[in-house]
Amino acid sequence: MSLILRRPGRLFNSIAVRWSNNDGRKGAGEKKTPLEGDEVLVPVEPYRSDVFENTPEDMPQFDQKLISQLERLSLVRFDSEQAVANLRQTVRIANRLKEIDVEGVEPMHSVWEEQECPVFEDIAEKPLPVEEVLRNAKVRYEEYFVTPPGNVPLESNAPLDLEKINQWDTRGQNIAPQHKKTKRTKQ
Amino acid sequence: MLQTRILRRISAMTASTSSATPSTSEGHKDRSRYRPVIGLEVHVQLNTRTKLFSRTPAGLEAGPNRLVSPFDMALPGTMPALNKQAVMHALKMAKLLKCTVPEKSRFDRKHYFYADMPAGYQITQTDMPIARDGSFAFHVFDEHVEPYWKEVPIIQLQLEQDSGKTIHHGKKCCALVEIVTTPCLRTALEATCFVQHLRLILMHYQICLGELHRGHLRVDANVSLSYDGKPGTRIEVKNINSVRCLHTAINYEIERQFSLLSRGEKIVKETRAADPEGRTVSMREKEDDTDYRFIPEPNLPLLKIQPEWREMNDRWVETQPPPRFQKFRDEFGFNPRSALHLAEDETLSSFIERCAEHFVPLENLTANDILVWMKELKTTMQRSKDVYPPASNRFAEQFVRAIDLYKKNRITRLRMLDLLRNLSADQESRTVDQILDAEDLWKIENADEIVSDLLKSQEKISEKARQGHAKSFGRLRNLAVEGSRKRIDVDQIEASLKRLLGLKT
Repeated sequence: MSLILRRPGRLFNSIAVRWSNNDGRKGAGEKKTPLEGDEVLVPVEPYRSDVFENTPEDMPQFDQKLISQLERLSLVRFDSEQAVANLRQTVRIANRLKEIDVEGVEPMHSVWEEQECPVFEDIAEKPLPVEEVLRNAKVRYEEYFVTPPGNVPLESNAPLDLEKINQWDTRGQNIAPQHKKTKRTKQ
Repeated sequence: MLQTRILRRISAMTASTSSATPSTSEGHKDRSRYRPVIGLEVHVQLNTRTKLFSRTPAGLEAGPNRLVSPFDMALPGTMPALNKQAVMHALKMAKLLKCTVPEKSRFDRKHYFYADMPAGYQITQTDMPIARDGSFAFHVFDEHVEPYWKEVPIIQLQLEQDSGKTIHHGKKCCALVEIVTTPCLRTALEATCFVQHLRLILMHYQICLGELHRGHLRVDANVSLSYDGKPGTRIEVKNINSVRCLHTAINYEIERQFSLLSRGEKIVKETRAADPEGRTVSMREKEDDTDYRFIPEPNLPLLKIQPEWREMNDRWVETQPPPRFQKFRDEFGFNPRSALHLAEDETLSSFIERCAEHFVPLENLTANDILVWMKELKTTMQRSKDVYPPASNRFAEQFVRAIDLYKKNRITRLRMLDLLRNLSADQESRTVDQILDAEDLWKIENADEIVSDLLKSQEKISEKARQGHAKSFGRLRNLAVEGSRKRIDVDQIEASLKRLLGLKT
């Protein structure tokens, strides 16, 4: 999935508003009051885009194959059905980005597009001393790091209950009705 | 590793959507209906002093973890600092491979797990590479194949980190350019010739040190078999570490795929590794499962190629003398195969260059004469246990002079061989002409005088030879060669003997 941002125009060029924050209790979504004499460059009221309102109700379907693939790529196992359900919810929200009309808009790669990639002369500098390099190594062998073995396929042990995962997809109920457990261990 | 996106771009030509499963029941056993389709990815290790994104020395021999900077360890907060020399090398390659260089190029992160790669991703280029749409042309040949000209379109050149060598290995490491060709090669031979010529060119322009066994050039091959023009399933072969291995691995893979298809089986899309003998073995990694999760590298802005960088590198490439194999082929007139063979050997090519000074202006001498006599010289010197080829300029000059005299029929073949022995023994300080003058060894055209004298002095043997005794004839011939001090050709002596003895010619 690739994330495409729109040029934000003047919004990010200068953020010159200091908020009066006397009580420190002003939170997101609340109306904020600028200090006297300050130029206001951002909307005073939160702006709600209607883009995200027209979302289709398509909840992405997760099957066992996808779950195993995600686990293998991330080298992390899902804790529980709830963890997968949360991810589905996240994907659904992220899918809304597809609704944005980006026709004819150049993708943005960085917020400072005029910046050029600096290049450096090919002149060697002193490398780190080997004691420094290995200072934080948990396990070492002579002057080597010892890393976990690479690309070991994860066995799919005790697959998660797909039915359970796929039933928690109603909007507004993105937390599975289940106690948070500690890490799932092999029985 | 070929990125998925490029794959998609070229999939129309190679790969995978419709597998080459033959429809007729027996047609799939017909070898002539299959056609190998081969594309290469050549990883060129650039000749830079430091790594691609840090100023840690590269190219030195050092112990494990000795050439490491905080960036190489992927410590949080460190930023990549692009090596200008690597960009310059890439621009030279772009010029040599006739690529177009876009105004801007972008770096991307390619994520995968590798124990030697602490960041968990490799910085490479995918959609916006430094150069694209080039071509490379070369001769294809071997012992049994007449040289023919082949042009290979290049998809792109991409600058990337050598992910396998970020830490640990203190050896030459880090800045790479990956050359991606279109899948237009048809045989293993075309692939090996491509790599051989490319290697010499990159070495000539000092872009790469070119030692294959040290990993300066690493090749992955994408091999598939098309059936009646329908693309087959593509197999990527990695871990190829020599030209010979490239040749056998491709042929092994073609044969393996053919035997599977001819039995009516399907090819599973996968990555295979070549073992030291060139067999390919499955790496147990199904390609559908790998997902590199490319993202634009957020720590590097777009790389803008300054017009003066391009002008400077283009001019530099243009002002260099051509690579040796090209010079040997086009200026000296060697055939493409010998030109490549000679250029691959430093001592041989400098010998040729020394000789060329003297033989190129001579019209009656061809490169082939030089080759023929180099072979004789090699045998001679090996017999006397001297180092071939001789290193002195003087020898080269006299060598060419001797060949010239031989071609002009001024000396005999046997005298020529003797001369080679004398000259290469380096005790000799005289020139060829001085030797020949001093000892009066110039060729004699008329053999009859010497032969008739010989027949008179060797009556017994002559009589035997006259009656058809082959051994006696041979003995007479040898005596005549010796008697003439090798000034007469053996053929001429034999002809003269036969005539004077009254034998049938």
